[in-house]
Order: sequence, then C-alpha cells, then structure tokens
Amino acid sequence: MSDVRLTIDDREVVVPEGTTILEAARSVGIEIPHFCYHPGLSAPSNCRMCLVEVQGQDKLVPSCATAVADGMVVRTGTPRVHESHRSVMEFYLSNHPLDCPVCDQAGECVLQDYSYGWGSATSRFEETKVTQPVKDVGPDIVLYADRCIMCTRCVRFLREVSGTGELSVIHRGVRSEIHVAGDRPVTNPLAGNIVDICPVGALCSKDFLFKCRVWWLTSTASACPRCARACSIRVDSSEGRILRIKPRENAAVNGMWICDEGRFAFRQWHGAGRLDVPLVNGDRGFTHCDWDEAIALAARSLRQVAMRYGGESVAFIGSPWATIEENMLLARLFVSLGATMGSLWPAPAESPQRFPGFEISGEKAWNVAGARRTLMDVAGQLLTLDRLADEIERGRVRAVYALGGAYRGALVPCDDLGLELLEFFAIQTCFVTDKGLKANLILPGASPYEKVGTVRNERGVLQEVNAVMSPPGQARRDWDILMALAKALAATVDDDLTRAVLDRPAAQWNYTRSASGNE
Amino acid sequence: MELSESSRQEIDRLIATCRTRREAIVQVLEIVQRGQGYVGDEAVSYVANRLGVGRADVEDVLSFYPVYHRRPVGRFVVKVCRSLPCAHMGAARVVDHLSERLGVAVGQTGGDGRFTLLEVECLGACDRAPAMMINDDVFGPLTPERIDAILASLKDG
Ligand code: SF4
Ligand code: FES
Ligand code: FES
Repeated sequence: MSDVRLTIDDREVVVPEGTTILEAARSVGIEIPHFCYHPGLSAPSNCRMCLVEVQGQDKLVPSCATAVADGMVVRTGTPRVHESHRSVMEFYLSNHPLDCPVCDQAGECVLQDYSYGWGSATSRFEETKVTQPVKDVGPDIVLYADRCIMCTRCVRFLREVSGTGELSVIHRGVRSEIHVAGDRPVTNPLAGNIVDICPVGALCSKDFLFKCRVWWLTSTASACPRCARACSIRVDSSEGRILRIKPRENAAVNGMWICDEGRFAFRQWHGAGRLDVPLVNGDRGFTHCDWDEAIALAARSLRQVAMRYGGESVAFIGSPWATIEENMLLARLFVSLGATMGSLWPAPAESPQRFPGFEISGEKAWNVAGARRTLMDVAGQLLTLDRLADEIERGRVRAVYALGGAYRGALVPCDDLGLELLEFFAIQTCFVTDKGLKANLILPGASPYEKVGTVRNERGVLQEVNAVMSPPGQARRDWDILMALAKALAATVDDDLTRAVLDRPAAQWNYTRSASGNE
Repeated sequence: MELSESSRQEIDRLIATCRTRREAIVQVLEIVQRGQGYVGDEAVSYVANRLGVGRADVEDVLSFYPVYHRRPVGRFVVKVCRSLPCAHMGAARVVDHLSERLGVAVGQTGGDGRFTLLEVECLGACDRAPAMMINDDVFGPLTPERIDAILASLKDG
C-alpha cells in the first residue's frame, strides 16, 4: 500500500492509502469529536459528530468514513464545523435526560465532554421528551435506555467481536431503542466490553454501579493474571479496594478488549479467606507465628537438609502466578544452595475460547511462559511434578520450597506429590485453604494485584505489573519474603544478584512498557 | 399459527437467490406477513433460525418498518396518515370519525375481526390530504361523508 500525503489543520500528514481522515488526524494527535466510530469496530457513520471541512467539497464530510486522498486539505475546527457540532449536540441533548448528577458515566462521558465544548446551557426543546425504560441486559449489565445516543457500538461489538449478536436496534427515529431479544440476554464471555465502549452512561456495570465517582478512582496499569494471554489492563481502585478493571489498548496482546473472567478475576483473590499471617505447622496443627520466626525456621530447616543430604536434596517449585523476578530470585537462591531440581506448578488447563475478534487462552495463569523460561534459564532443567514426586519418593528430595500465589483452589492437589515424606515443605501463598497442602510452613504472599514486576505472556510479550494495593495484614510481597529468606540463608544473595535479577528482563528480553490508555 | 407450506417454499426459493442472509430478512418477513397477515413471535424464531441470524436481528428489521404487524389484524387494515400535510388538513378528525364508525380505538382491532385502525406516517398522497389507506388502496381527500361512503362500499371476502 502506498502512502498518501494530505494536510490536516495546516499540518502535513502522511498515512497509508485507505486510512480515514479521522484516523489520519488521530495519528498526529488531532482528535476529531465522534460517537459512533470506535477503532475496534466497523464504522456505520451514523452519529454525524465527526464532520469536517474538505477543501473543494460543498458539504461537510464524515471523517470516520472518508478515506484520505493525495493533496486533500482538511480543516477540523472552522466555524462551519463548530456550527455543525453545535447542531448535532442540540439534537442529542434535546431528548437526553441530562441526569449527570446520578449517572455513573459522569466524568468520563463523551456526551458530557462534548456538551462542554459545543452544548448550550439552555434548550429550545419544549416538547415532551421520549422516555425509555431501564432494561436488564445481562447478569452484570444494565441499560439506561434514556441516555442512549444510538451510536450502535454495543450492537456492532456483539456482532463483530464476540459474534453473539444479542442486541439490536428496534423501532426508528426518536423511538429507536437498544433491544435485548427476550430469549437471549448478553451473557457471552466478552460482554463487559460493551459497557466500556458505550460513550455515554447508557450501559452500566451492575458491579460498579453507584460505587464511586470516577474522578476518585486511582488507575494503575497492569496485566491481567487470569490467563496466559495476560491482557493489558487498567485497575481502578479507591482507598485500597479494586472497584473495576478495564482493558488497555495493546495491539501486541489484547487489542482493545478483555474477557469478563479477567475483568472480575480480582474477586478470586480478594475477599474472604486470604491468608494474612505466617502459619507454622506444629503439634497443635497450624498456629500463627511472626515473620522473624517463620523466616528463621525456613532457613534453619533448609540448611539442615542441605547439610545432611547435600544441596541437591533441596528442591523448589516456581509459580505461573508469580512474576519473572520472583521466579528468578527463587531459582537463583536455591541453585546457590546447591539445588539442582526445580519444578513449576501447572496452570489449570481449559479449552481456549475463540471469538471472531478475540481469543481467551485456556492456560489459566498469566506468567506460564515467563516462569518456565526463567526457571529453565537459571536451573538448566525443569522437572514435571510427577518427576519431582518420584524424586521425593526415592528420598532424593528431602525439602521443597514453593511459590504459590494461585487463586483459590487453583493449585493442583498435592496428594500425589508425597509431601508427607519430606522433612520440610514451605509455600508462599494466598489462601488459608492452602493449609490442605500439608506444609510445615505457610507464608502469606501477595495477590497479582499487589505485586510489582514483569510477566511474559504466551506470545512472548513482556509486560510490567504494578501494585494496586498492599497485601492484607502481615502478608508480604513474595519478592520481599524471598529476600528475607536469602538474607537468613547467610546472604548468599547479595546486591549484585538482586540487581541481576531486576535488570535481566530489561537487558535480555527487550522489555517494553505496555501500550497506553484505551480512550 | 403455523407457516404454510407454500410460504416456506417461497422463503427457501428466495434465500437461494440472496447473497447474504441479512439482506433476505425484509423479503422473508414480507412473505410471512402475506401468508399469515402478521409476523408473530413464532414466525420471528422461524425466520431467525432459517436465516441463521439472531432473533434480535429479525426484530430490528421488523420494528423498523411499520408495514409489518406483530399481532393479528382485521380483514381491513385502515391506516390514517398523521404526517404534517394531512395533520393540517384534519387527520385528527378523520381518525375520530373512523374510530367512532368502526367502534375501534387507534391501534386496535375490532371484536368481529373486520377492522384494524392505525395511524401511520406519510402515505405519499399528500396531494389528497387528509389521506388513508385501506389494505392496498389509497383514499383522499377525506370528509366524514366520503369516509362513510368508502366504508359502505367495502366488500368482505
Ligand atoms: S447503549 Fe451506549 S453503545 Fe449502545 S447504542 Fe446506546 S449509546 Fe451506543
Ligand atoms: S464518528 Fe463519524 S459519523 Fe459517527
Ligand atoms: S402527509 Fe399524509 S400522505 Fe403525505
């Protein structure tokens, strides 16, 4: 495809043939107002908000549906264009409930923003507004049909990306409304995206509804822990609580979307049952202990086993829920103790779910690829859990130290592992229920939303992970626990090692920040 | 009500000639309505299944065109234009008169199943405003006397 050269607002723009004016303008940071256009969907050109002036053409043209041409001269801010924005806005607002004070979208509403630019403080519309109902659209989605501006983004998403087509437009003109065909509410696994792309407060998430004004939210860029795709996400929290998760646009990972499992994955880690104190297993079963005691016990036990049976008798298990750095620190620490055998918890496997415009991975942990590669890199080999069980049974492995961090119930049942044969087993994990693991020591670690580090997804893309909150109670980030253990093990891990661990992804794997915001 | 065999065959023939299934919706609905007089819920499901589209897509098209009826209608469907020119020329009086004579409210069908009275937008007969349509015929300009004469001339069967 050849390039086309044009001028937009006196700026030279060069874009590939076939690009629309709206996208060409975007590429140089000129934002043309629009409602119906969405970069991830087809362009029906129905909202008329994106009209611009093209030299030599009598009428204003819809920039979202007009391809650029060589030598085209486009103006996006002339009085005629602004006048058009004003009249389009008058139409939109004439029948709009103007209920911003009680609307969840206020603060991130395109209609509100454009009203600020081209709306009028008074209305000439004296007739009765058409009122429409609040409709239940799906398990997590409610439609305030009154606020809908009929951009049809939701309808197109369900036709083009999820391919499920639950919504359509019925009636016409001012009475048009988004319709849920009675027998099919929007339950598909990508449903939540329609809330994100609705430019107004028509489609709302029931989960987030009335919880928080959006301007009080703190947004943290991170990656989704739910599957090996590790979609780029934005975690919105307030006062240390996660209130909602939205996708960030990242062409290399998830495009523009995320699935609902990922959107609500935080519930799997947060809520009741989180482990928040170190637990030591003694005569009276599990009892609380403080960190110094716990770390000292781990160090003493590991050292004893290593001394008595040799370093090879100590093994480690990495985790696909832990970051690259955590897995690397774990492996290097144990290799420095003389360990030669390491393994990796398998992520739960489901079948992948494919949609016309998205795919959900069947490997249910974010850092499967990163953990495997890191552990291999450091240890040279990686045993399957079965092999490890074998080594335990033969008495060649006498102590195991593991990173867990899985969501509740996701760690494989360890009955077959022969943990009871070990002299020492410790695990850093998130849930009290992991007590079932017959460990000597359970250390409260961090959920994926409490970590800092890097993960590598199934396609090899590295992404930065950022902490949204601190771990609960006395729980600590897994990195910090490992560092404390390293110190207690006579500082075989020095600053150089930490630096090596921290720098390594950056140096070797061309670590890049994930792409920026979705709007 | 079951769709007749001949309607089903006609639908199959039509689908064979269409490039995309979506484009066939309008015409398939037309066939259904010609056969049954209206397009009910069962028919919507049938059409959606037959075309492999969602019910939502069928309802989308169906509700866009007021020509389609969602419920059974009378033998005579009386549509009175209420768009601007007709409104100026007294469409409201036409509606009142018809409603009284037929004993049917707007949007309703009489108990004897003879008449359905509807208000519609421009019939393209503005030159004869106020205008109405009874089944496939357009009448206008209407006066109470003219309406009575037209009603009297209607033959069942
Ligand atoms: S509900 Fe939202 S996304 Fe759907 S048509 Fe209305 S304004 Fe657009
Ligand atoms: S964005 Fe161009 S018409 Fe809606
Ligand atoms: S306005 Fe009534 S026929 Fe056109």
